[in-house]
Amino acid sequence: MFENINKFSPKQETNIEKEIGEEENRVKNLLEKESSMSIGLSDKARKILRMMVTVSALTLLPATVGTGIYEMFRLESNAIERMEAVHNGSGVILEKTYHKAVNPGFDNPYYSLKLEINGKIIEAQVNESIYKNVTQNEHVSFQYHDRGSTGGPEIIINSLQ
Amino acid sequence: MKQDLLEKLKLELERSTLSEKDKLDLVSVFSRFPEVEAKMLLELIGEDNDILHLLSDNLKLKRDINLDDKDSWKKVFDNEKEVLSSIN
Repeated sequence: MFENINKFSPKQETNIEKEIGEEENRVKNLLEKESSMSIGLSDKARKILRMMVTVSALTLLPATVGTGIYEMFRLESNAIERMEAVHNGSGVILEKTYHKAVNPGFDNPYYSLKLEINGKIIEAQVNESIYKNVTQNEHVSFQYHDRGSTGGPEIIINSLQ
Repeated sequence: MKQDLLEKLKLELERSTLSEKDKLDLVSVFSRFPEVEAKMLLELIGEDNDILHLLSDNLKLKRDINLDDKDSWKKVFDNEKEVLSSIN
């Protein structure tokens, strides 16, 4: 049943080699995280985890989205529960700071906001284009996801009040 | 993956009780495994042929993932936790 699988034209083979290079990089990046995931697992379970991570890297084609979320879930066992724990609230922007791009052309300027949520002060980076009109002392309603150790808090500002 | 490793994997798949479609799906992914992982996979299958069924289920779940649906991700996550805890 597998007789036709490896019959490709030279052009197809070149493309396949390029794709394999990209995929190997994607696998490598995910496997670098694998060592921290496998703490406490038996040797066999560790190898199977490695196989599953490899399958992930090779099947989740939208890599920047897919593997990003995947890594988060793998690295933090309660990541899903954390994602579900969305806090809705409203509050005041205590501080707003503008940060210049470090490498103009490669990254973007951004704002960091300091907000008070349920008595807790949090800070988050936000995209300049969305939040440039938000000012200090302004009342906003927002959603807040605590992403734990896998990334800074994420704030989605719903509306100005 | 080197041709000789791929041939060995195909032989293992031929011996398995997976459906023809599942076998072809696995070959399409296995053929892109880096060499180190391919060797490890052959070792694992040599010890326990059920690994092919585990990986086939895992592959199907991942192919069906809807990136916008948390429940879809949770299915994969739960499947992997279950596999690892049953083996560990």
